[in-house]
Formats: sequence, C-alpha cells, structure tokens
Amino acid sequence: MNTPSLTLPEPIERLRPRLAKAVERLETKSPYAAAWLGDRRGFSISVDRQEELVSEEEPAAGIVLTAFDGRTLRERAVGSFAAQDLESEAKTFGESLPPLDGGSRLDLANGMTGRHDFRTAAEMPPEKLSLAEKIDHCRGLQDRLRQVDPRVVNVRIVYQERAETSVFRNRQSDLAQQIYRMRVGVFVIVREGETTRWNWRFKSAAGGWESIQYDDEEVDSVVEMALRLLQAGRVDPGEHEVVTAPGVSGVLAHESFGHGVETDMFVKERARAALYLNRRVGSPLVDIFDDPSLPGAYGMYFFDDEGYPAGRTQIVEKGIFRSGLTDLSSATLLGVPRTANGRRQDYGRKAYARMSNTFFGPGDSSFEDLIAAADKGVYLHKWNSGMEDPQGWGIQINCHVGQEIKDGRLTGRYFTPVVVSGYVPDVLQTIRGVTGEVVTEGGWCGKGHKETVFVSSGGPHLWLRAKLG
Amino acid sequence: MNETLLASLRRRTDLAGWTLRRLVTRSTQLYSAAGRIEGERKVAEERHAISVVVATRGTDNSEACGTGSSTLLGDESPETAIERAVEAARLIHNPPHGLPGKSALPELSLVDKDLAERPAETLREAHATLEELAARNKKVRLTAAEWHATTRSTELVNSRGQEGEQQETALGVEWVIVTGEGEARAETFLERRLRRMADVEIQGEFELQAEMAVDRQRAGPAPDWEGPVVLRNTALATFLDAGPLQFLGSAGNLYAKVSSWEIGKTALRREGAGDPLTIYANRTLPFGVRASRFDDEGIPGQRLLIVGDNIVRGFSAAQRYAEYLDLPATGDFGDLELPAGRSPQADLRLDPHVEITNFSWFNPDVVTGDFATEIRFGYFVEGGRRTPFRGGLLIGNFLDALGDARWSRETAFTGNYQGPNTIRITGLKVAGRTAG
Repeated sequence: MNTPSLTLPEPIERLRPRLAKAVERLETKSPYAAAWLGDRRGFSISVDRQEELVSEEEPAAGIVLTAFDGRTLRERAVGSFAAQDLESEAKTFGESLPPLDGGSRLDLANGMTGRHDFRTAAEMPPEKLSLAEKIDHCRGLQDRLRQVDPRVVNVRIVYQERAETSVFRNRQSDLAQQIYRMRVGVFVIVREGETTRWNWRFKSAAGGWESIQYDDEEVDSVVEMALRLLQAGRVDPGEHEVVTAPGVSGVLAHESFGHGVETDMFVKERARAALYLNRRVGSPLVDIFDDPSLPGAYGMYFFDDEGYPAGRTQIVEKGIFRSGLTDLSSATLLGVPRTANGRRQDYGRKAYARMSNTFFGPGDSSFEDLIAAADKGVYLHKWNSGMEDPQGWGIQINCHVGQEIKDGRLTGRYFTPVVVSGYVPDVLQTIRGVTGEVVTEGGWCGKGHKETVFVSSGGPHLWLRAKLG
Repeated sequence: MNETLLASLRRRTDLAGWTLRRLVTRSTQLYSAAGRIEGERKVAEERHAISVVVATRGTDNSEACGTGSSTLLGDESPETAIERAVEAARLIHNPPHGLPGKSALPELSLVDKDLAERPAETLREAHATLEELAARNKKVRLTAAEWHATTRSTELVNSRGQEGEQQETALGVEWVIVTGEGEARAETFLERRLRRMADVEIQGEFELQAEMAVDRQRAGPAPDWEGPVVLRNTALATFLDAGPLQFLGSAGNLYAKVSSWEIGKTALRREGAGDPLTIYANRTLPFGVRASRFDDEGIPGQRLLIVGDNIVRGFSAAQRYAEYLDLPATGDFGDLELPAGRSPQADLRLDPHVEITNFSWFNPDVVTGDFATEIRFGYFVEGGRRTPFRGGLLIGNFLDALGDARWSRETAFTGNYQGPNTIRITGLKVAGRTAG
C-alpha cells in the first residue's frame, strides 16, 4: 500500500532530504552505501488486582550509515536525528573507509526506485485513542474476571503498543514506513492448596485497535483452562501422535525452516539446510512460507531494513526446500536472490537475515478429521517458546498445554508443560494431515539470545508424530 | 547531566518525586564470517530517562499515586518529555509509595580499562588470538565470531537527594566452531556475556569448544536414564539463571500473589536428600554482569540473602514493593552467588552419571519450576568412559532438583554466577533412545 499522506515525526521529516547527500558522499569511497533512520517507541500498560503500571519501552531512535564493498559491511550509527550528527558521521565515516578499489559501483538493485511511503492499514489507528481510554480498556477486561472463581489469585491484563518509523535511502530509492504493532494479553494465576498454575492468551496485530479485541468467551476460556491445569499431570515421555494448534504449528515452522534457512547461517556454515536446496525435507503436505507483506500480521513490514520490498517467499514447497531467507550481505556473498528479510533490532545493531511472518500453508483436512485419526496422542494447544538448532537440526518447542487424545477423541485429561523435541526432517516427514485455516500469532524472536525482532508464526492444525516430554 | 531538564524537574511542584538518569553509551562491534572480517560497527548514544511519581486519588477518593516514565530524545523540549511521563502517572491509582532516599553507594569493579579506552584494538587483538588458535588446530575451523564491546556511563539524581555515577563495560562474545563437511558437519556455538576480556580464557575456551565439536560429530542418541545428572561451569550457570529463582524471589511477584515463597518457609517443594541450599542475589559481585552501584531507581548495590539453608530469607524489592510489604528495599536482583559446597568436584563426577554441557534452551516454568528441555549436547559417563550424545529430553522440576543437589567445593565465575563449579543432582530423568 502506497500512502503518500504518511506524516513522519518532525525530526525524521527534516532529516530525510539530507540522506541522499550522505549516501552520495559515502559512495565516493564505497561501491555501495545506504542510510537508514529508525525510530521505535512504545509503552505497556499492566493492570492486575494489586496495581496498575504504565511503562515506557526503552526507545531506539537513530541513524545508520552503511558502506558495503561486497565482502565487508561497515556501519556507523548514532542515536540522534540531528542534521549536524548525520553530516559529521558521514564525513568521518567516509574518511575512515579504505580506498575504493577499481571505482566500480555494486549493482544492488532492490526492486524499488523513487520515493514511496507506507503505513499500516487500520480502521481504528491506536493513536486515535487516548492513553486513558487504553488503560480503561485494560481495567474493563480485568473487571470482567474479578469474581470468576475463588481459586483465581490474580488476573493481569497487559497491553503493549509500539510505533516503528523507518526511512531508507540509497542511490535509487527513498522509502518510508510507519508500522503500529499491538498486543493484548490476559494472564490468570490460580491456586488450590499447594498447587499454583497459570495460563494466558495474547492477541496481536500490526494495524488497528479493532484487531486485538476479545469477546467474553475468549476471556473466560483463559480462566477455564488455568483451572483445568490445576489437575494437569506430565505426559509420558516418548514418541506420540500429535495434533498441533496453529500457534504450535507456527513455532515448528519458525524453528525448523525459519531459523534454519536464514542465509547468514549458510555463510557461517551453521545451517544443515544449505545441503538440502531442492531436496526433500518433509512430507508432500508441507508448504512453509515467510511473508512480511501479510496484512495485519504482527511481523509485517513494507520494506526490510536494507530497503528490499516485502513479498512472499516459499521456503518449502510440497516437502521440497526451495529458498532461504536473505539479507544483503549473505545474498551477495552466496550469489543468491534477495528476499525481504534483512532486519535489525534497532539502529544499534547490524541487519541479519531474519524471519517476518512464517507459517505452514493450508491443507484440506478438518480439525475433527485429525483428532478422529489419532488413536492415542496429544493435542498441543499453546506454546510459550521454541529454540532452533540449524546445524544439528534438533528442535525444542515448549508448550504450556497438552490434552490427551484417545481413540479419536479428546478426553479432557491435560498435561503441563509439554515439550516437543526431535530431528527436524523426521518430524516434518511425519506430517499426515493439514487443516485448511491459517492463523498467525505474534511474538518476538532472537538470533540465539539477542537481536530481538517482532515476528509472527502460524499455520493450520497439523497431525504428526514427535517426541514429547 | 542536562541542566535544563534537571531545572525543569526541580521547578515542578506538582510531582511527589522524580528520578533523572543520563546514559551515555558507546559500542564497538566486530563480526567475522568465513575467514574474513564481515562487518564493523560503531554506535554512539546519549539519552536522558525521566521517571515521576504523582499523587492521585483512588476511585474511592483514597490517597493514591501513579508513576510514569519518558525518555528525552533529540531536540525535544524537557517540558514535553516531563509532561508525557506526568500524563501517564496521573491516570494511575496505586497505593502511595516513595523513592529511595540519599544513601552511600558501594565502590565496585565494573570496568575493563582496555574495552573502555581502546575497544576496537582490544576486540581485534582477541579475535586475532582466536584465529591463530583456530589456524593451528587441524580438526576444527572457526567459521564465525562476534565481539561486542560496550561502555556505558550513567548519572542519576532523584528528588530525595540520591545521586550517583557509574561507568561499566560489557563484552558480548559469540564463536562458531565447526568440524567435518556435509552431513558429517558438527558445530559448537559459544555465547558469553561478561564485563571484561580477562574473563574469556580464549585458549582454554577454544580448546574446550574444539573438543566438544569433535565429540559432537561422533555423538549418538541420548540414553534413557534416571539417576545422577552433573552440570558444570556455564551449563550450571545457565541452569541456575533460568528464571525461577528471580521470579519466586521477587517482591513484585509476592505482592502480585504469583510467587509462592514466604519468608521463613522452605524454598523447596519437598525436603530433598541434597546439601542445604543457600542463594545470594548479589549486585556487588566484582565484574558481575548485573552488578551496579545503583539500579534504575537509585537503590545501592547490595548482596542479599534470598535462601539460607533451604529457607526463604529475603526478596529482591524495588522501593514500592518494599514499602507495600514492609521489606528492605534492595533493588534489582543482580547476579547469583552460592557458597562453595562440601564435596570435592571429583566425587561429584564419579560415574555413572549424565553430564549435560549444552541445553537447547533451559526454560522452566517460572511459576511451578517444571521443565522438560532438549539436550543439545552431553556425555554419558560410565566405566571411566565419556560417551557423547545429543538430543533427548531432561525432565524434572527445578526446585526439586535443587533439593536433591550436592555442590562442589571448587568454585567458578561465569559473569552472571559465582559459586560451586559443579552440581550433581540425583534422580533427574533423561528421555532418550526409547523416546524415539
């Protein structure tokens, strides 16, 4: 969506026209140069039975100047939007660069030329509501759960809102985007005797306030599940038939053929997937995509932090690995096509190949089909984290809730926590059923334990076999 | 300090309290991949962080207060930034609380002089040493490394007269060490967060990682095992620092009724057969990554007994929760410190046992302590042989495991942890071969 009416924060609007000159100055010394302005601000509201908090998220606002010679990427970053800082950094950075070897420019066509402005679509943009209205909304949700059950010891409502503005400039393009990301979470703590359990639910979106509303049934179900978990046990460790809810399916996509195909990991010899291009890695029912242009999804954007336009990448097609996710540096070094996945945590960090919205494609089974087909298994409802192992192709998905399936029926017996582990191709090869609907859930993602970016992952329900514990 | 901003805060008679921090950060980053320098970055930042307390009224007209925060960025006016914090604070109605008063701050070791004064050279020298070690080793190769050096200076002033300054350095290190080609390729990934370069024993760490990479290449599947599990050094620090101790030991979580710990009662779910457990939350640990002369509120760094001989003795408490719960205000939790144990390390490593050297992500449920976590790499030790394995799940409960633990006499420092270098936990379960 091209929205020329985009209104940028005033310091960014002032600085934007000066970026071209900075890029031009750097390209007298470097085969390629770019400038990026990033401004991320946000806050959270937390309302529970004991207290209320409004907290500013530590903002990140600054300039990045990039010089790339096709092998080494050099950057200077400063936490400022002052024109004199831009000019001073461009001058000293330019002077510090090694002499231009041969004088030729790198052709790094990014698919967009000229000026383009974008912003997330919303019926009710969050900036149209006051902070007081947002706090009252959280209080209302909290009040709804005040007297539900005496075993509920606390209910916390958390609202998180982030406004991200970025401007990218290189010799051919002048791009700006503004993205709102929002999440509302409901956390419930219950206690009975010595047993304490908790449960939660998040709704997230990039866009408008309308996307993160709860109905009464959704809110009540968080409490209901927390109470059920008071009687939950541990699953018998071993291999099980498993039906995954869309969020759990998403973590499987994210940790298996998400992190494992970020091509900076190919350069570092960290990704086994590099050996499997155009080879089978899963059952023919497996399609995996990454798509930063997915409307409303929490990890969406219009262009990546290296100016490449958002678009869908099919990573796995009918079980065959087709494409990695690239950033500028690794795509150049490997000689593979760019995808829109060059992302940085903020101006203080470099861009790496990172996911956006990563999900399994739909199939044609129904949820009832999958449950009915499982003789003895576990339906995994809810995830809380995952971890990748791109070289060893191990996988860990931490799930909060599992429900027993017996003779094709959900029994009402619950397990918590449940962890999925296994060898990625083994797990993907066992996928025998895929439902038709695709749902994504928002969260954050690190590279190892740092470099946080906001993403979503999802998919339909899947039927597979995996090790549980 | 921004004197205009400070003067603006001092003029505000409508505030019950305020805190101002000036943070100046300089970072140097070095990236290497595929045998060459892949990237170099330098980052500079200065910011002023404001927090305010405002007296408000509850819905029943009782005395209340609200807090708000904002950051002054760019050429924004101080009044605008202050008003943003005040606007948020006015909407909140919590029981009244104050801010930390003036108190002495400890002198701490937080700075690596070389990282502060010549970061680029120090990182390059360390990387050159690493490359040299890798070049000499015929079995493995260094395929990537990241070195991040950050220096941060903080000044703090609050409306109750607390003032402080501190400088600190932070070092982030990542190495990828690989052996073999194609399907036979195996790696180890080292990730450390420290304050000084001297705490990275480059040669020793490299040799250990190289040995593990080679072992990982020949590793088989995890055994099925129920019995002693041994963790050492960084694996032990990872286990202890995974969240439950900080969660349960937080006065904020006690106030929110989500921590089940009570002062004077056992920290464990049941009495175990292990050594008595004693834990300090230490914000004064020399070169500890969470050590600080003062935290964001201005509360001085201190060493706090959280658990003594299995009994809960204290909670880490921000000022507001200290006042709400009548506890001492201790500030942020800090690093973990445990006293040296009773057993020689050699006794704890007697076979048979499973030793886990790397978790995929040890991420227990912080409320209950329950965990099932994938083992990235470990050894089954029996009959004097160390058999490497990968995969499998370690299953148990964090608090029960601490109750069944014996601790070594020998100690280690890992940046976030000071204490016994070895733990032997009886009765944990590894789900391995028969689990698929």
